[in-house]
Amino acid sequence: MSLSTLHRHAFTFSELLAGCAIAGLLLLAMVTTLDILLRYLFASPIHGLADVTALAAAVLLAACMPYVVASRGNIMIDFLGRLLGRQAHRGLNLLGATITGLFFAAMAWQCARFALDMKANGEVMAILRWPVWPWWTVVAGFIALTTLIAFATLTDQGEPT
Amino acid sequence: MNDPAMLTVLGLVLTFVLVLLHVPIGVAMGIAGVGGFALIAGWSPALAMMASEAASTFSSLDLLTIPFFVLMGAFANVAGLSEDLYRLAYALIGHKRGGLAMATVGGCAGFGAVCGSSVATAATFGKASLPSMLSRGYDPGFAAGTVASGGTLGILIPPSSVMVIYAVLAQELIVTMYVAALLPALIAIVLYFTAIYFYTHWRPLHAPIGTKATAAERWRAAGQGWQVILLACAVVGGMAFGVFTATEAAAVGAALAFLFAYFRRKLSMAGLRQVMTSTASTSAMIYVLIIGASLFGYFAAVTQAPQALIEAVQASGAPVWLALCIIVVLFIIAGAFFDEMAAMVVTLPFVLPLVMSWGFDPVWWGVVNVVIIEIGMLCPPLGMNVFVVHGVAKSIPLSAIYRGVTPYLLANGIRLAILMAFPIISLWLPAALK
Amino acid sequence: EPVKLKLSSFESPLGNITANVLTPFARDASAASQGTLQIDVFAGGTLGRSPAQQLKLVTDGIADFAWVVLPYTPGRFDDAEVVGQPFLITSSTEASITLQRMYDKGQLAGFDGLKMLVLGATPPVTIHSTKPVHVPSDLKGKRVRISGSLPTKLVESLGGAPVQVGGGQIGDALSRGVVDMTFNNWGFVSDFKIDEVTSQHVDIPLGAVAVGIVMRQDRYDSLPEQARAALDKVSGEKLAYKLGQAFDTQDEDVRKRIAKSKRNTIINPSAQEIALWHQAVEPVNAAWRVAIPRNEQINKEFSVALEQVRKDLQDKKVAQ
Ligand code: NA
Ligand code: NA
Repeated sequence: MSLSTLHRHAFTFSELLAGCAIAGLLLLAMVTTLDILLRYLFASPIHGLADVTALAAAVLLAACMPYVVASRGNIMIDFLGRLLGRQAHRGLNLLGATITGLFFAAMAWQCARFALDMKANGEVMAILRWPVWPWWTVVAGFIALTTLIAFATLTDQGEPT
Repeated sequence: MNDPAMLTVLGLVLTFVLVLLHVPIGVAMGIAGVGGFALIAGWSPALAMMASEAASTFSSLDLLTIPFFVLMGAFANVAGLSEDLYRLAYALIGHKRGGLAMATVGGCAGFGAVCGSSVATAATFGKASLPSMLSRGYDPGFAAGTVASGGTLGILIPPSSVMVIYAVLAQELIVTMYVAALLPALIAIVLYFTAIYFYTHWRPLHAPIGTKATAAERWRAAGQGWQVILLACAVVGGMAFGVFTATEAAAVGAALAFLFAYFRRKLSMAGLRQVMTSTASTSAMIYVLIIGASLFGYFAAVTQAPQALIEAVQASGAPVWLALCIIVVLFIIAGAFFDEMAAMVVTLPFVLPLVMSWGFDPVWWGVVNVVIIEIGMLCPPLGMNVFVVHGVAKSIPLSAIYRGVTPYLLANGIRLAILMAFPIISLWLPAALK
Repeated sequence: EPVKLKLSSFESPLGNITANVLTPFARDASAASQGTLQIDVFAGGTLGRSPAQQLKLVTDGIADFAWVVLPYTPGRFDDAEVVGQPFLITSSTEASITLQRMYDKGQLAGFDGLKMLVLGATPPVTIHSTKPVHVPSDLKGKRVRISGSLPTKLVESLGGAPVQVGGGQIGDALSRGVVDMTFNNWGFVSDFKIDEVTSQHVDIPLGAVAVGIVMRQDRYDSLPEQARAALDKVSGEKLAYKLGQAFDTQDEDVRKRIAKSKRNTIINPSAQEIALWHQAVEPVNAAWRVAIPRNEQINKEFSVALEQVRKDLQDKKVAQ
């Protein structure tokens, strides 16, 4: 597999994942709306929805991270690159992307420890009493994936053409 | 390292160096924050902070309003609600001198009530109203400048992602911030209309008068425009008058906007893809910024530099109004070169305690901050909204757009002065509704 | 050169507990340490905004002490949930000393690796409503802001709709009609101006929430001997009493102030009405006691200790 094919696959995958995450977000919005209707019509909201909403939000947002890194969507200032010319611009982009990848690598490592901690301490949701560690494990997985995508698209300059 | 103030300065310097090296701002702040914290308290806790902060940011119900509102704006755009709004405003005032520009501002204000982003509002109206103004002989620079300036209403009129971020970082209620922005938003619209009135009378050739809409056309435009008005009323009204919380309002808005797009048969595969990717990218970008800013904020707190700054400013004996004006001017300069939301987020741990130590209300300061950000988004050399409109209409040069935003920038300057001189404008409504 | 320790509080620096318990604790411990200790208070969430994050700040070493609300980490300190039973405790002071004594005797599980400088409880929550409430059936069909699993079960069993609203948003949710009533203690009502958006206050004790100042055991062990002695001197039962007094004094002040206010009515249910509340509450408490085998035991031990504390408080035999 050539480097540009790897870029393309990594990008497409992160885009697909982000699409699923936003579809999930839309579903969450609809369930919340249903919850409000139930609350007013029958005084019986969905049991423990707030518990699940917070953790589902965490998972869905973590799933958006690979895409923002692959598409270079984070706020960035390329002032120095413009000043120093095309070659330096590409070099600085590579440097910035590498540092970003390392940042997410550290975060993935810590999120994995966080999930293990939650498991060891037996933390559960307030109302439903479901364990929270599986959710945080998925979050840690998505952040690890963000790291992989960041390194797979390292020499990329944004959206592939 | 035993001089905390020195350490904070080093942290800020590291942030700027990383930003210069093309590291995204959120990541740069995160690295400086974790690194600085490690020097004080050791690596193990500093690194652990990354996970616990990411976890509480990702699972925050307050911040969840941001992706929901972004999603709502994206669906509203795909559903064609922005065109409807513009058509309605056009049918009402299009025949007046500068009427199309006023219709654009009015449309932006209406769309701002369903969209939380300045950039998205400008991009949307770059498509919805710019072609119509150009085809009726408007000066391209003035027309594009109107769209760029009208777009900034997106972050002043609730919902607003900037206000959510401020509310979370300053520990204020999101709804209070939204209510506080309503009167300032009204002032903004009035001042924009005034600017259009004077400009178009000074340069009549830049804004030819259009034909008057017939009563039938007006009714038809109103018939199409009701949906977006319903959406805006459901969201902002439901929140202000107590049907649901801010997070729930955002969820309802996203669900309703999706239904509008669906039943209008506007959901093509390409459109859907556009909604999904733009929402994911914008939300993730904001979350990275908040996580980075929080990490830096905890580092700043542990150095106790904010207290040192307050003491230094108090010891200097500078009058409060002078210090305040210096802060605002520095903000505007920073916003001209830098991303203004990032500028607010980076400096908040220092500036907010200072402003509060003078006895000012953080809600008022939040509104002032939003107005400063609006100005920054129009200011050269790095005016985000100007770039966005230029991106939509490449044939209009940047310099022409910057010329076009000048009357609006003047209006914004006057608005900023009014809001700073009379905090009551921002604080009266939240207090009255309590 | 003193050892510098960081105490984190999510509460504002002017908040009751931060101003009247945490800051004096930091000052007293530093003073008693003969220059070996300096405790800096980081209030207002400056080391971590989220109240749920506070315990993690300590276990990760980001802060050395933190003010924690135990139910914010559900599943970790299930034993301390005993104080959540409605009608069991009537004041923060008695509940705090009881919990502290049980903790000192090692009767409570979940604290391995942690050192509680104090383990206490808030005053019991009471009902604050926009509409009159006298008997349990008045909750039927009402939207109730609630947190914690025991009160949630109570509201559900009475046909009310529990709504979860963040602490800072309760006043807003009440004034705008998102919820009809909320269960909170009086101090909280005053801090968050809930009395300005409600008018009816039902003064019955519907369960408390365990709180405390936590540090890591290994961090404590690593301190110089004088520093440890200083911490021991100002913590434990003495601090539990202080904490209880700070909570209860505020509770009493607020109750008095609200009783005088024209807009607010404090409802003291009649003996018959109280009996109805007891009836409504009993199945919920019973369900908690048998939820896991351990709860029955904890409940017994707590009741015995509580009787003793009530007697000791009367006889002034409590460490102060
Ligand atoms: Na808006
Ligand atoms: Na700018």
